[in-house]
Amino acid sequence: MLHETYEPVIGLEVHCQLQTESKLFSPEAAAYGAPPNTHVDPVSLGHPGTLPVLNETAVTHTLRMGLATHCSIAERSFFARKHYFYPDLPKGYQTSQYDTPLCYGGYLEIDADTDASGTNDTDSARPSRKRIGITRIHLEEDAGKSIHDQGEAHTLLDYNRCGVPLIEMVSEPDLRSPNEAYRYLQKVRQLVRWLGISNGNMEEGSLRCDANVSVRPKGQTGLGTRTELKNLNSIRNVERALEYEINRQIVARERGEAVQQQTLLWDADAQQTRTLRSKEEARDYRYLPDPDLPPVVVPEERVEALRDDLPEMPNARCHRFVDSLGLPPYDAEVLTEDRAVADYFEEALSSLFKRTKGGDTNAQAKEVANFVMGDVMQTLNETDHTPQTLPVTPRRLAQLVYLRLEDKVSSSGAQEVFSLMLDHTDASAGKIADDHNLIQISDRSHIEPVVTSVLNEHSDNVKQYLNGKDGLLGFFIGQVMRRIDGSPDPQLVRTLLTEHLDARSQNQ
Amino acid sequence: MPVTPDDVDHVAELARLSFDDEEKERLARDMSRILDHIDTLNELDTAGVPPMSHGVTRENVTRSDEPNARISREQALQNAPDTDGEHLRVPRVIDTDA
Repeated sequence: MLHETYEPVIGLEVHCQLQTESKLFSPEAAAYGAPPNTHVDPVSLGHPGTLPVLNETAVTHTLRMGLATHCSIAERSFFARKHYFYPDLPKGYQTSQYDTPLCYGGYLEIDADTDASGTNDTDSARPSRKRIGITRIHLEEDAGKSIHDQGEAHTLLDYNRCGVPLIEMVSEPDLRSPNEAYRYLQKVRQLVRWLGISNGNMEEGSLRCDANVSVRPKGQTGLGTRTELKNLNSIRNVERALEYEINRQIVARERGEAVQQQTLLWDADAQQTRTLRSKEEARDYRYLPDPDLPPVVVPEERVEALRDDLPEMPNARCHRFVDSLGLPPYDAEVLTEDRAVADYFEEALSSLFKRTKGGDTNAQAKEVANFVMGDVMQTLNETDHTPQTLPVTPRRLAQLVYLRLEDKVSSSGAQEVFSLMLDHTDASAGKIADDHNLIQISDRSHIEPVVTSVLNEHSDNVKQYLNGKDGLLGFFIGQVMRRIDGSPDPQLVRTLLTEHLDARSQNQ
Repeated sequence: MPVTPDDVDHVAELARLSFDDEEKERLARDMSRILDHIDTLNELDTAGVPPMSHGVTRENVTRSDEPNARISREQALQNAPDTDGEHLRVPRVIDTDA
């Protein structure tokens, strides 16, 4: 196969809108989705005589992302003007950073390609990791939105987005497959959400990605001519566009054609790339330090304070769930995908531990994990609830898990109690189970008389059973269950029936 | 350092300006004199002097992240040459070979 003789080399440039109340250099709201041109300000509209003032929170968000990706923090950095004319940028330049990004030289870890390394043991708790270098993370402002109506002679402009804070995160060309690029982006999105610095929503454009890609014969270390892919508006599209473009470059090379350095747009409908008209060839941005914005100085103490303040990161938390709670790696991975879910799980677990006061804590953790990955996540997917707004709070879930661990409810009974708890927010799990006859009757003395009378009343069936008609056990179980109010423990009913039938067989 | 009319063309294109030949000649002369002056400054030995990015010595001038609507849409649009009442309207900008 051609693809086995070539190796793709991929680097990603990710833009991510920061979650702030106001814009990067002016105080109007930064919220998404407002009516056009209602979040504007003389500064972002580029009026003469206005002065930008830096949003402190945007700097903190950027530094947190840098620290979470093991970057060095620039002790002193400043903003630069990147000049170009386009109507979505009223000032005539974008305020960005050029030779002094706030963060530089870090990395993040993704799961390594299983097929490529061949060393991955699926049973092992830790899939092997691959480090992807982060060249830089800098802070800049977003541009406005141009609306080109079909067939119209003009373009409409909405400046609500103009000046919204963005981080630009540039990776080293360390990615070797479209799927690695996919996993890298997933990781970036997980991290920004985990840190609470962005909603990471690609559909709303909060997270955007451009890719640089080239191919080279395997074993070679030099880089081939690269192309830049733009308009990759979903994580899946990034993977597809890269697959398409890598294939295109390999075919071109095999035909002896040179790959041209160019910018390509991904057309998601046609599933192919097309050339961007090179209107402004030889980009000359004339970067220069912005004299209106004094330098940002980040002393070592601030870096250390921010580092101490970082939450436990997803990888570390996942490992802890495996190591100290004994969860299977798959469960730990699912529970740490979203920080709010991981928090919910841990709160429920610590609430449960207060009730159990010891015992098999690993089994208790697994039981809570099952509920969270089952009923809780299903409810989150099917409703608008977040882990914070779910009517079944972690404390209430712990009540339910406790009932289950104590065998007070059956596993199907527990599911029923859970869905009742969504509507009955003021009652405890135990009260709901009680009110709805879902408490499992596991009291021998309560069930045994019923077993005796059922067997007495159906002596013909008992005879048939004893003569080998085993299927009748189900009939007896049904009869007993029906006669007891509430929810008799089906396992106990079965045991008692078998005991009594055995006894009768010996007396025969 | 002599600036050629081609250099003037390049800078004019970036600045979206156009000049006639006579203006270009004059601009080339003016710009050459500016660059000559820079050359004079370059004679100074600045090894070991950190580059200065700003004319003021202030650092970390920031504001807290509190939203404040200082102008309305009506005010924002009133200086625009053309609007549809909600957006600014400009001559069609084409991005790609669609």
